[in-house]
Amino acid sequence: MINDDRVARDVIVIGASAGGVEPLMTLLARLPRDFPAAIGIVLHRSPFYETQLPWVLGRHSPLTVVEPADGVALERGVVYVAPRDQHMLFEAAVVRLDRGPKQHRTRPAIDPLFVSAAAAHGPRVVGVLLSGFGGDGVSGFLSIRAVGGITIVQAPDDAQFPTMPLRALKEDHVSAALSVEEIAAALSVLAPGGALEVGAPRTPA
Amino acid sequence: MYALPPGIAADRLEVTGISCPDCRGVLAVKSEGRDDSLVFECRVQHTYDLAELLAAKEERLEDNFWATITALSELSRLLAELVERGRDHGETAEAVQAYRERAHQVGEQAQALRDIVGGNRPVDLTRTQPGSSAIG
Repeated sequence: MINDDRVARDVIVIGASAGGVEPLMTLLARLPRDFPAAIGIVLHRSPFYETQLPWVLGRHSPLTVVEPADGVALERGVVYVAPRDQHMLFEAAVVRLDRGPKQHRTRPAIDPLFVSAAAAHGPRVVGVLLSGFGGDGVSGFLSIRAVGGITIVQAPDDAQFPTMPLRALKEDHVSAALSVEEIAAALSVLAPGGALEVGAPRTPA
Repeated sequence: MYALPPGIAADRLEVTGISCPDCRGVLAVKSEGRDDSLVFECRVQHTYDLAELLAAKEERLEDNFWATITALSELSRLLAELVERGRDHGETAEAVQAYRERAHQVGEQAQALRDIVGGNRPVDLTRTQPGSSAIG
């Protein structure tokens, strides 16, 4: 059972890398218009190319998907996508952008979003790691768990590139490993403070 | 000294005034295709189009900034620890004061460079592509 203490998990942070666009599109398409949580997304991307990423990710979604400017208000029902060449941080009331040192050789990186969200929002945070390569997101997951948040990975057999979910499963006590469709359903339960009937995932060898 | 040589020609490499981002060797340039797109090549044939060259130069630039920030930060920290250590290890008051002032100076320089890196905005290379003018 996840969230049997019925905390509103209304700050959702999602990290993805290679093979991440499709699951992100699916996930956002399956969340309702009045979704009662703020969502932050870091997708590993080139720092040099302006793409229409918010438009792509939000094509089939009823939610507002934006690349925020530094200092915009953090609001429920809005999806914030980290812009190229900037780390995105969730503070208590605002979104911060920071062209600080690359982490895991990339900017934006997943860890700065996860770590900042955990520090500012504690147990309200749900971290999600989708398809991808590398170790980005593991430190962030540990930070989220340390403050009583929930961590969910895309099930390895559901991910195009399962390295990132597998790393997290190995390094952390991840709350659940689910398909993208199941993650969307889980977030819809968790955001308003519902409890989720899911067994803990097996730790990979 | 120029960066791009005058009279860049199709299919004939001319030496440029800039170095290869990957090996620091001499970079040459020619044009190719309907748009006379620039193609850069060094002696060992690291090869770039214009967008790739700009991206690689931006990456080298940032690497160099961080190398300098590290050098400044290390020196600042070392001097600051010497200030602490000096009191009990026979340093003169003048030497300790000199350490302190220099630690502060290079510390400020490190912060100034961090601010510069933080404010850098490399150009969007989406349109710096061979053929981008043709397809608008």
